[in-house]
Amino acid sequence: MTTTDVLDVRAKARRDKRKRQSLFILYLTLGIAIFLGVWQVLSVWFPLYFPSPLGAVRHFTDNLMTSEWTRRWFAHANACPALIGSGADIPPYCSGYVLHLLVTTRNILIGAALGTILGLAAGLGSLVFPKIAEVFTPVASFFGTAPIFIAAPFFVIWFGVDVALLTTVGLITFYTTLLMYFFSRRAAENIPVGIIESALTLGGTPRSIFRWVYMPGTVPEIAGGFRIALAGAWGLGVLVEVLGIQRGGGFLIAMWRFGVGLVEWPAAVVALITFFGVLAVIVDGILVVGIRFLTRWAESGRRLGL
Amino acid sequence: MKRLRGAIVLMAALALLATACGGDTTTTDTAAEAEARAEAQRQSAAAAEAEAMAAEAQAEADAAAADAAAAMADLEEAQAALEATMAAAEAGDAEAQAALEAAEAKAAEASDMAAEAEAMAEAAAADAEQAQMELEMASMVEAPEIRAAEVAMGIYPCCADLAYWQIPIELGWWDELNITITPNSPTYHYFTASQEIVPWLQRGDGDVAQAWVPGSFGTLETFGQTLPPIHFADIYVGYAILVDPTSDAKTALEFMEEGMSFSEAATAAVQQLVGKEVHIPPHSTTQAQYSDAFFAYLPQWWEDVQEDIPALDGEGNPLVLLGRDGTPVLDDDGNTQPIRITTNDWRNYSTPVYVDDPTIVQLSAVAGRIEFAMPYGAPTLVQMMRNGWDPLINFAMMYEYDAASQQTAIASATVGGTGLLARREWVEENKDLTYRIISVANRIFAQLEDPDTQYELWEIEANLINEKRQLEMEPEDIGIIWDTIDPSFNWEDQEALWDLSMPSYHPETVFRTQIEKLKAGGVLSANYDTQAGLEEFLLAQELYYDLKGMQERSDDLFARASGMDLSESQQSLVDQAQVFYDRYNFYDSLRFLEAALIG
Repeated sequence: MTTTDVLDVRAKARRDKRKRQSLFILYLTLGIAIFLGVWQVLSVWFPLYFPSPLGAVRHFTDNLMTSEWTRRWFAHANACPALIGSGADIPPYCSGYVLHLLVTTRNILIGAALGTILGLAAGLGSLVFPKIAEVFTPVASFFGTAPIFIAAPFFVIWFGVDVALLTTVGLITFYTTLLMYFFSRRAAENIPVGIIESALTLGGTPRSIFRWVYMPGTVPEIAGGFRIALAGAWGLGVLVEVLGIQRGGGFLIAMWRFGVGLVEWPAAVVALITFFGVLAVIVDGILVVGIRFLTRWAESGRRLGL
Repeated sequence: MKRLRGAIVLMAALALLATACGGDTTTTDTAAEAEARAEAQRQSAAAAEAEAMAAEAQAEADAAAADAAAAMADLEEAQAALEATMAAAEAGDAEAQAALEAAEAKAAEASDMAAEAEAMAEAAAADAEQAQMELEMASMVEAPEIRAAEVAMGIYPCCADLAYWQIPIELGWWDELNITITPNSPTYHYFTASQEIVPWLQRGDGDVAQAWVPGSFGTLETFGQTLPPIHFADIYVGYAILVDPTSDAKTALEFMEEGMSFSEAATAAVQQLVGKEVHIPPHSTTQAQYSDAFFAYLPQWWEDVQEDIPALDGEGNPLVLLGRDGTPVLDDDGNTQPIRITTNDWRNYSTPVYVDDPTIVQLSAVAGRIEFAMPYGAPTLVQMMRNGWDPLINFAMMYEYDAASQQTAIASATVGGTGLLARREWVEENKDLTYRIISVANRIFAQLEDPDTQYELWEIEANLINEKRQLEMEPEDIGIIWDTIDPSFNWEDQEALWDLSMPSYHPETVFRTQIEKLKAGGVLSANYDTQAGLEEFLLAQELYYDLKGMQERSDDLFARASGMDLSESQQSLVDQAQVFYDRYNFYDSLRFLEAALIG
């Protein structure tokens, strides 16, 4: 017989949880404060290259919906391609950052989604049809081991700078497919052999094992791989735009590169880079919440994001 | 001797008095120069004294020699008498015997005198030789030092007017000036993109870099004044809108062949661009005025103008249209016509597609992918034209067929070129190096214009551009670029660059218009003081006049040297000065001349 009341145990657990959450928030706040403090110091030491955090935020909000800088300097109808050649006056919202940033976000998410579908189809399909792996793996291994950005200039030359669907989306799809193929294969290989053997002793066929063992069993690891692929996709998507695509956040950064020395230059570049960092963190956070819900039955799913 | 010394002291005093009471040049001399002159006069006086001493010693030696000669004559006479007496003595004459003895005694005395006189003459000759040596030592001069120094220098080897700095590296000219190029010794720091240049200098990583000068106007309110130009190399007039060989669009020249005037043909040609995409490098955003000159042929251009930008000369007078002969073009009422630079923008009529020059070349390689392009780099332009792309319209056509038009005036009033940007702080601490680097630029341009040497120089440039930009330039292409697209300013041209009374490209005037345009576009503050900013920025002008002054003083000293009897060491310095002078290094030329002639 124990002398400890079960209610006391639960209360202690709740207290510990609250304490952990409080410490988490404290450390998070401390980390952000240190980051902003260092940023602020850099802006004092190197004002020509680093704006203050507030300066970057101010630039971003001032230019988000309409931007006098881009309108006068370089943007014109780039963000509103439907107006090109129409003879119509270009409305002010075409100069704002928001259209460019939405285009980039959309293209990256589309590319990542397409690549995930194709990669999973090839990776998981190869479990059912091993010939797929024999055909696909050598090619995927070749491109998978090459640096991720190496094909970007070729996509720009092959597909041009005008049709982002082929260049930006195409490149992101390409690499996401490769990554998800390997992640799905690895996830399947990591399923314990005992589980497969148990399924076989229960009369499982390749198709039924795929459906009831591989499909659910690989999800947690695939989800982790998807987060990695998406993180890479942000960088890849913006890089392709920097190389010449005429719309998107990368295009804005590319144009501002030539503004070194302008009063507004540091705030513009840092604001745009920071935006993509923050956006990637937010999207990743949403992803974590979704994956935790889908894989709550698995240990890895429960620990995800901790 | 006392009189002589007194005369020397008097001369020195008079010279000092003349120096103190001299004309305009004297009043502007620095204390250091005055001290140098006094020192020179002291040395000159010492030399004169040594010379006088040598003359005196020589006179003494001459007198001693004369005495010795007289003694020798007496000796010879005595010997002759002795011989005659001996002959008589042999004949048995007692008197003759006595005379013989007397003659022998005289001969011995004369012999002693002759020996003494000879010794005196030798001593006097030794004194004269010593005095001559002292005289030469007094007039011996030493060569000034050309200090060993490192210069952190970078170039962006995209184009002929930037890659020309490879020439002194390959021909060893920096070694002649005791300069070591860093930080990528023995060659330059090569930029891979134009936007790297200004931050490289601003960070202090580099001291000097060749760059597009108007490209830094946007930085005038931040750090632009810390990186002024110290030399202007050229003017770029190669702007052209190129058209794909598979396109149906016609060039202005093709329209002219159909019977149109150039103005009509240009309008028809540019009209084809309305609503179309033009591929153009991103840095054109700070240099959009060149495209504006083409689009100003559109009739709607002038209807859409919202604001005029002042196009003024250095005295604040409006710039007016000029004909080929340099006289103002008058309208029907006999009035001059001001040049109209406006806030209108070519991008209101066509859509820019911003890709850098190499990407334009790559995209143009696929037929039909792009239809119109406006590369900014001359090698890119030449390469695309060699690939079959034709100029829809270019500045050369405008200058040839429409020189007195508003459009050509816009082009002329807004063009720019490359120059050497340098950290102002570095220039102030290293004026000597600054002058030497500028001399190298002038030497390069002189040799680029010399038919005997230019091919080798073109080859050096072509090799570098091909290596760094993956192009296939021939040496002759570089020559074409210098001749027709990038005319350079050699040393003689530099005068007209800064003298507003001479017909030429004047950075001061052109840049004023460009800065006003940036103010109107919001890139610079509306209240930015253009005149004050320009005066501070154009350091190249001040340095040019410094060098010009040195050249003139060198000319004077060369003329003075030609009328002087120079010692061997002096002549050697003058010869070295001439070598420097011929290489446009007027700074060291003057230093060597002053060392040779003034001390």
